[in-house]
Amino acid sequence: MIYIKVEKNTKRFIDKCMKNRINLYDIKKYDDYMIVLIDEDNLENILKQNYYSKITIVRYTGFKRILLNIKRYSFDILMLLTLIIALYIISNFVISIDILHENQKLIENINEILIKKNVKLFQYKKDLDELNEISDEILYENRDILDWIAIDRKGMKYIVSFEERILKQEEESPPFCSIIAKKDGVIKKIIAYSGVTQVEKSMYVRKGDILIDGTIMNNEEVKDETCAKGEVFAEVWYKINISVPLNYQDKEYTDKNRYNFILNGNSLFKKRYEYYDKDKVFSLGPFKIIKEREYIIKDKKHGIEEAKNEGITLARKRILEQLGKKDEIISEKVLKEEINDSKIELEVFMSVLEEIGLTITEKVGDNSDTE
Amino acid sequence: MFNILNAYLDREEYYIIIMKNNIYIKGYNKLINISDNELLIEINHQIYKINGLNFSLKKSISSELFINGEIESVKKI
Repeated sequence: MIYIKVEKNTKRFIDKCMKNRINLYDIKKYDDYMIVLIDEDNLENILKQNYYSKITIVRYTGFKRILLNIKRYSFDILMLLTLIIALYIISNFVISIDILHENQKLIENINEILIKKNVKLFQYKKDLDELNEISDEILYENRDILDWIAIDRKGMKYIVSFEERILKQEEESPPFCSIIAKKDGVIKKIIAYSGVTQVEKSMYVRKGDILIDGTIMNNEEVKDETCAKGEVFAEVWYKINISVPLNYQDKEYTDKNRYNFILNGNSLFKKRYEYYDKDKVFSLGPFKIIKEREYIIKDKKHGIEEAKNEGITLARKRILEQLGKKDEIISEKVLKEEINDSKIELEVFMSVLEEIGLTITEKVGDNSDTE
Repeated sequence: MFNILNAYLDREEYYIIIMKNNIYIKGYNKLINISDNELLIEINHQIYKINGLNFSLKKSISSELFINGEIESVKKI
């Protein structure tokens, strides 16, 4: 709709409009002119019929008015938008990295590590997930100097806080020690750095037997005493009971997927799928494009062989958790299996190559021993 | 109020609603004259003369009229 201003012959204008059944709304009469609201479609007709009056458009109403205003103020709107975008971009840059610690040398070290990890000044702010990943990486790579590290974002700053790892000084070796077996097993490998080896390869040893002795004998006489050092690997055995449910849930991808835009962790489109995985397609600072792939959760049933294999894998995993870095599983065998409706019970026998040496500072026969 | 609603619902051909400072006319044929204190209007082949003060046309939509002003009398002539 349009507001028009009618000057000259206003009375005739009204008569003419009424005769022609032209709708007039919100008529405001002033001394020598009037303002009338008309339908936009009637404008042409009004101008044609009322040639004797001076008719000017005052303003449009509704959506057209918004459009016209946008057109009229397009430069100002563009400038404002540019300013907002520029401010937003600038506010997403890092202008300061505060490393909170008292040790200046360590601060310098951490600063270097951060630069290597691309956590620098005047760069686009990384999102919190990425910062967590970086702090985990730094912690993993610098376990010898760091107990923990956290990188936080506050405004245009990164705040890095960490705890230094205080290493205990290596204790001096005691004047005497021996290495005994901490469990039964068959010796497979002996590496002795000091002391006298008391066992041989393929020898069966029991818990408590001396493996490397700190007493150096010659012709049944004690010649010297030292602290025995070395590694003794033996084959040891474990029996593990595992229960594997035959029914399980698994995810199955449907054909449905879509792209979504993430800005500072907020999704542009509303959640559409109940269950979905996110794959990163593109990332620039706080902006990401991800692909959401829908999946459904289906109830499934393991086959017997499949469940058995899963049980063995679980047993291996459980044993490996207990073992040291140098230890390894030699073989495994299912001793017993019992199948119920909903689960399979397994008894798994495992043969493991394990370091069985235990350092004691007392001579065998004393009650107190220390590792 | 109910009369007005009834008239609207019954789809009367024409009616005049007189309010304190307004007059609403539905189904008129012709507005013969409107001045500050007189309104001449043809409704259903009859001419009505409405006298009052400060008449001013506010809306004219199809065969409906809405006029502001203080009404003193309505006469069929």
